[in-house]
Amino acid sequence: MILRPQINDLRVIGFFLGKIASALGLIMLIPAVIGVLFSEANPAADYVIASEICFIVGLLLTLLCRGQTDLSWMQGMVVVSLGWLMAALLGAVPLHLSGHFASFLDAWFEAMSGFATTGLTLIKDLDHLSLAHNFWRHLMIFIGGQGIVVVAISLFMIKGGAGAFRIYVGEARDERVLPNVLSTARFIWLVSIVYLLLGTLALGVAGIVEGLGAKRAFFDGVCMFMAAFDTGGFTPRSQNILYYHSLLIESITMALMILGALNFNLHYHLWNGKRKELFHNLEMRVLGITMFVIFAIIAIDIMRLNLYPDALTLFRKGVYQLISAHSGTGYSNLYPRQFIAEWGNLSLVGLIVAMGLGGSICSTTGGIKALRVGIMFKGLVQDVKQIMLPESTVLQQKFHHLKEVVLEDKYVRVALVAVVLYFCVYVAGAFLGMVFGYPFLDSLFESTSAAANVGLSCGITRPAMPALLKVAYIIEMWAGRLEFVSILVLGGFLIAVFRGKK
Amino acid sequence: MIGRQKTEVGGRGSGVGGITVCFARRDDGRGDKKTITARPRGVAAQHPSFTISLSSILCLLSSIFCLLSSGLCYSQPVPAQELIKNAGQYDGKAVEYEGELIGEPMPRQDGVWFNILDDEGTALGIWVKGDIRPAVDYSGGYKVKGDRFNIRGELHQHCRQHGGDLDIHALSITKTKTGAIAPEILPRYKQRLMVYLGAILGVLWIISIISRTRQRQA
Repeated sequence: MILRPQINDLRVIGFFLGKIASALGLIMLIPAVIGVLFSEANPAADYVIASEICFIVGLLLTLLCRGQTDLSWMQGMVVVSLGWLMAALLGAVPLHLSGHFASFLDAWFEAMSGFATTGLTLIKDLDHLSLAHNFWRHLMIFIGGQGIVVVAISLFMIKGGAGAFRIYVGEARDERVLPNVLSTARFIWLVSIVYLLLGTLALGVAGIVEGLGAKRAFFDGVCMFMAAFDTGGFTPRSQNILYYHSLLIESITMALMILGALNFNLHYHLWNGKRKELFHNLEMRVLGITMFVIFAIIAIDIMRLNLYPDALTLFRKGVYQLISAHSGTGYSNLYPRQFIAEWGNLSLVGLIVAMGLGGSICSTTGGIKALRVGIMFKGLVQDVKQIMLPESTVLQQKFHHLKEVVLEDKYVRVALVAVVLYFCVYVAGAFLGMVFGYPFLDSLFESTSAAANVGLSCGITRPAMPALLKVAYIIEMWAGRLEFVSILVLGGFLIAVFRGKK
Repeated sequence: MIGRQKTEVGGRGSGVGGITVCFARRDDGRGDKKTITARPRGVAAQHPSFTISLSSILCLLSSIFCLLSSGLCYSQPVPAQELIKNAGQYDGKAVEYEGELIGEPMPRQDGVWFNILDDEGTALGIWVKGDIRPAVDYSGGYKVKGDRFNIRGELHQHCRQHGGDLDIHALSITKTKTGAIAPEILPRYKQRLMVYLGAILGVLWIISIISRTRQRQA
């Protein structure tokens, strides 16, 4: 039996959505200030307008839905799923005002791609985009990487109670780093800001070394850091990483992508000097194995095609795409068309698998995640062993993830459900692409890239693509980032509104 | 070396009523050049060069048309997407490319990188050696239309010198148009929108403060 939500449920949800809108309005003042600093009157006005709209929505919702109480599981999940949709809609306003998008739908696509740390883009004439708008595109990734609602919590919302934890889980963060959610959010911010300073410095200096002016080097540096560490994939230039023609910048972004793909809990352990965790952790082992196997597949295919003049080039191109795909970043040192025109089907399948698998849980990466793959594999091994042993034997399988954990059926079930859901979404998107006339492999590549929040493109994503496909990718990015649960709860909530019992 | 070929068709008279057809004259000057003359209607066959029938000329002209449309030779700069899509065919060949300079040129040890955006919105990296580096007045960006350059050079599908990047090594680079700074005008609708929304926000803020104060008092 489903119970119809009470008016109080709607009030609580509305109140929290209002807070999220206000938080977004506050954050939008940063690009507005950048616009003023760099004498970009139009972009500055765009952000003032968008910020005003956010505050109006926020104030209206908090006024109408006054009366803060702690969130229930259902309310928390609905807040998260609706909050992300609303944030992408509000975030699209300044982008649409910039005039660089063919329609509001395209701007919404861009905003969702940014918040979901995907990196697929529909922008036109990126090379003439203002610094303020460019900064906003990357800032969306930075905010989305931490979790929009977690950002709102950190800014001014809740004191880290049970409701905060429900929102935190709803944003696809399965683990707390510290006992309190607020402390966890603060730790995630601390890690991100320390890396932000170091990463921007490294990329800025690299930019100067490679011939960029200091202002542009550091601007591009901060943007690239946000997109690399938060595994987003936007770049300030239309040629992506190819613009810089630099091994140094490619190496730094590669290191940042790897750091971004790691579990924040692992960062915490490493910060506390527990380096052994890096080698014992099941997640890290799975990541290492899948990277090695997929690179071998790509290398064999590229060597078979005799594509690159030497091994170093093969390594530079192959490893970069692989890390970008596996970490869910979407940076590329190839033109999108080169994937289809030059790389063989085997390499493309390898990249699709890497994108589909993703990085670590409790990181900014998307996709199935290495820990789930490891748990499923361990579960399979346990089942095979159990069959081979005498019936009276009780086998207890363990795995190491931050601590020794006994493998239980519920872990395997949860992992399997996630894998099946991701697989269904990847394939559904591919079928839709085929309906619009794209080849299967291209469609699967693009669909996986959207749902696993990667951002690599084989050329399907462009302003001229069908509107329905844009909507489908928006949904894929949204669902993939939130890992389905909160969206399924939203679906249940909507059904309950109409069909639930009083 | 076929790559980009400059083709001139017809136009220059040769002798009395003659038609001269020059085709596929290659940039390196090694291309074939033939002069074919035809006898126009009503002109008697007095000159020894009036020996080829009109149908042969039509046949020749259609062959040239076929060559032009086959993409093997170009009388115009090639778009970036075409170069990327068919990079294998153009690899190591002479190409002509044209577009706007975006971002600053990036000087390196023995040359400089120019990123040139073509008219269809795709940019390519152009490697320009120090000795032919042109002067740059404007680099494209927000509010700035960058200088326009015409490049003749060699395309590398996977450049051995530059880590396997797809690039063009310029043999010559010419500025065809100087860029300009576009004045920025804040549209009136944005100005009005800011004011109206600001007013609505102000009213809501006051209501919110009053409501919160009343709630506290209650």
